[in-house]
Amino acid sequence: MIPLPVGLVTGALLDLLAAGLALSLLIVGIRVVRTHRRRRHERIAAPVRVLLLELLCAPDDEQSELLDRIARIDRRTWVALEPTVTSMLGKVTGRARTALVLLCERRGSAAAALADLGSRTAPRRGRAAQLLGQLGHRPAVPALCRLLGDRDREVRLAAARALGRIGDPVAAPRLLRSLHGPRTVPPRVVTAALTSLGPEALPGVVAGLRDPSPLVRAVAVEVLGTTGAIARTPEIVRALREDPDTEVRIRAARALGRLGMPEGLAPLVAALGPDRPAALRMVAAGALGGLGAVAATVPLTRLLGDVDAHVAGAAARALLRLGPQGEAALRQAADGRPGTRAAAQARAALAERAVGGTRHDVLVEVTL
Amino acid sequence: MSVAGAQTWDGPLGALHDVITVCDAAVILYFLAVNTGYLVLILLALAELVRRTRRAPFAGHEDAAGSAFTPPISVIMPAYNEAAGITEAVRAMLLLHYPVFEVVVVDDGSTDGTLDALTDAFDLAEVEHVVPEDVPVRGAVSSLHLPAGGPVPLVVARKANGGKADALNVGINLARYPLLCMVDADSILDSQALLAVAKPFSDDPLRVVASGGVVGIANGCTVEAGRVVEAHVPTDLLGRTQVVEYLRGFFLGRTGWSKAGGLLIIAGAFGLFRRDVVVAVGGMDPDCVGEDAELVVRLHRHLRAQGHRHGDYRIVFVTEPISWSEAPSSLRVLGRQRRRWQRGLTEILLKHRRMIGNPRYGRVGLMALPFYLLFELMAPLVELAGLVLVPLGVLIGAVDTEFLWLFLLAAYAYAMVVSLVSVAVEEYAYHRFSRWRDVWGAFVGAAVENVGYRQFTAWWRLRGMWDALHRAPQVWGAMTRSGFGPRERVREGDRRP
Amino acid sequence: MARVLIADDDADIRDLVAFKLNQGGHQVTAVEDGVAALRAVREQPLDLVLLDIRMPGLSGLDVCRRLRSCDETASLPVILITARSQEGDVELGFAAGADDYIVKPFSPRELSSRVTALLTRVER
Repeated sequence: MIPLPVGLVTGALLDLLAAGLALSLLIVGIRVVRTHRRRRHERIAAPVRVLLLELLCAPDDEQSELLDRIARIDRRTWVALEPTVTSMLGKVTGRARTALVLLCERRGSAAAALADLGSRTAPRRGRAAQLLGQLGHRPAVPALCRLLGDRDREVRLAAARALGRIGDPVAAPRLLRSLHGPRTVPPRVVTAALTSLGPEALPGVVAGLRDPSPLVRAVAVEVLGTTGAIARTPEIVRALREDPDTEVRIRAARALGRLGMPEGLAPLVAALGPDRPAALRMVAAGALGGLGAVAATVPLTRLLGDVDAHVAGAAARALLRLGPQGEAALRQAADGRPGTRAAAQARAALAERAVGGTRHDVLVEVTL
Repeated sequence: MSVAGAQTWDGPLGALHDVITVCDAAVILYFLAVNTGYLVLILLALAELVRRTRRAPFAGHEDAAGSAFTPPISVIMPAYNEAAGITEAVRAMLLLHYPVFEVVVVDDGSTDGTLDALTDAFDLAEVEHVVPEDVPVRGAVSSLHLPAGGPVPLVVARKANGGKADALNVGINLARYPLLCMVDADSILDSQALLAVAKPFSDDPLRVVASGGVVGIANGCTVEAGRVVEAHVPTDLLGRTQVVEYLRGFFLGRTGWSKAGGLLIIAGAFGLFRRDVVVAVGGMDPDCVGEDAELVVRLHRHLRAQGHRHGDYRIVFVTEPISWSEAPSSLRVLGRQRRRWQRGLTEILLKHRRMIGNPRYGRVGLMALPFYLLFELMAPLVELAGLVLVPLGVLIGAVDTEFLWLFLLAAYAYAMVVSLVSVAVEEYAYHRFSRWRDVWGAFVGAAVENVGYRQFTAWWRLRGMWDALHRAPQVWGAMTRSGFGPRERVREGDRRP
Repeated sequence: MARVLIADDDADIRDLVAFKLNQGGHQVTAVEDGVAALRAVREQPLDLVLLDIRMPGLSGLDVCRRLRSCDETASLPVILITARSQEGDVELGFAAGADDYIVKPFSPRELSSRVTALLTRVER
């Protein structure tokens, strides 16, 4: 005999009905509040928005007066206008941007954000970091560097991006260090930040080439390649020849292709060897194309028949970038014995070139 | 109060009576367990969404859009007899906001001039080709076409018909970039879609191997030139019900699983994968109906077997609503879709049965797979068993009618509350539905789902299981237009949202 | 004074461009996407068109190509607005027949001088 829990079920039913009702009210409530708030903001911001546009478009002599007027608006209006100000920061340059930065400083946004970097709630710290980056606020650099070790991952990312925007070279070693440890910033974000720090940051980046962590070396090499640090070619060559980590060597090969210095030729040709990892060979072949050195014609032609179709394809497309001599070599291979891998690769690359296709920029990433 | 009339039965009938009583109790408990399971997932999802919503202002999408270090993506778009919509789809795809990407269209032996449509629109020229054989394919590439008019990052391959999974495999071989985005030709993507789905790879490049996006229902939405301009809940009951179902099961359910580290399904309609890992596991399985979900399970299996403990790799779900697909608007198409989905699920669980409950596979083996086995695979069985057993119980007096009604009401109220929680969470996090009418539509959908809809789909899902167990010949619904009118051009369930 | 059309899906940019050019004495029509841009070109006489490249639906490039392929608008001056990261867009833009381009983020002054310069060039 199973006793039926009628009372229990009735109670549950009533509770559920109440919950359903409460949820419905909640949904309606969320909507009403949101719509109301949005309309209020729009209503308040509309007149000052025009003022803001006027400020952005003002000739020099009128700017300060407009600035005064907007800086004097009451708090409520500022709260409604601030989102537009911050989003505009990323959309304009020149005098208009300077005016926005001045406006934010007059309103105390930068100071408030600096204080918020130490806030207990992560979203606040993140938003503050973002704003300081947009404002290019140099005094915030030390605090932002500390935030690279924040316990919240998204805040660390925001801090790294902000440091890149501000562009103070002091941050370089800290950015590199944030690649390892218990709280890390991903390599792409660090690379992007480091590349926007300018040439003064390069000594710090070069120091990273000797770091025990392969991740730091890989990022350092990548940054040197993308910032066009041709004076550092010897260091990058050494990384390609000697680094024990494949990822670092791949990045070094790509960097040499970007820098286009003749010193890159020999180590890149050496990196084509059949005993090397396929990804490295592929990148090295592509880099030789970037170098545009005619001397690379023979080793690249030899690769056309490689068992790895990606390597062979990269070599064929690299040949196309070597000018008439590379193209001649490719044509010769294309007219070679039909049905061979080399002939097929050569013909495919030539056909792509003929239609103006873009498939020559072969990119591989191993892990980063 | 006790079970009514129990005393009047003896002997074999008495035993039957007992069996039915126990079965009915089991059906009822099962119903409670399923809904509780979903409620837990939704609450997990809510925690995740609160986290993300609060961090959205500094998520850095604009930086990613402007960065030279954002990883390039190969978008793979398999197409079979898509002549009507393919040009529009490719054009919309080429206009996504993303620094570097290419679109690889694989024409799986279409017979309706899909390739001709593309050739006209993009001024394609045939070129000689070499296709790397990184993953095995059945239908080889017969011709490769590139735009002649300039540097448009588009490649179109024509191959012998071999099904969607095979077309995807060809696309994988042709792709040049380290990330693969697999997308249906009739998916409608938001312009930020690639940025959103690639963000996990930029933020956590050493661990993330795959990410999937939310798929919303395009029915009823205002679509202009290949973009959803305004999201709406459709006005028909079937559409409304599916919207609620998608919100609960696909949007929040998967967000919850992603949070718990056991995401098993990434929609074939929109997912992003690391190319090297996909190649390492051999690409898509052309013998599996649910090739998208199967790939994810295989990735888990492969990565765990390689000794990755939990936390060494991540398969994540991106919660921003960014991709839209048309859902079936007739019962006939809906039935077929669910039949295919269930068949896919059954095949996957059969193929990877050794992973179920296996501690070696961590949360995937111990939590996600058992959940899918119990609450997704078995659901139609229990549902239909309940439909038979409960009335039978009433008939032979094993169940008190009054109590049954009370209980049914409570159970349905529970299911409806779970759905309402989903609607509320969406309203909190993304509020994509702009009109009050849409919210009302979702309410109605939540109410109607339990009456008729679930039972209807259960029947078709049961047939899907039967197909899987009997290895019925694969009808590549995935790649065949069923010849419905323009409003019903949904193909039989190729997209698992 | 010239009649200028700006098409951009970003309201901030739209308002800013409209404001700046209004200030310069031009008569500005602002629209949100490519389809609306084509409609505006058809409906009213214009002297110059500013098109954002990445717009939902028809892109700035598509609009530009269509303008060039139609006899009446073949010589309508077009300036494309492109994002800094998408360098390829500039190449594509000139291929599509654009007269000039401006990179986001931009200074409102630069924008207005480019517009003026292009208008004078066309007049001559």
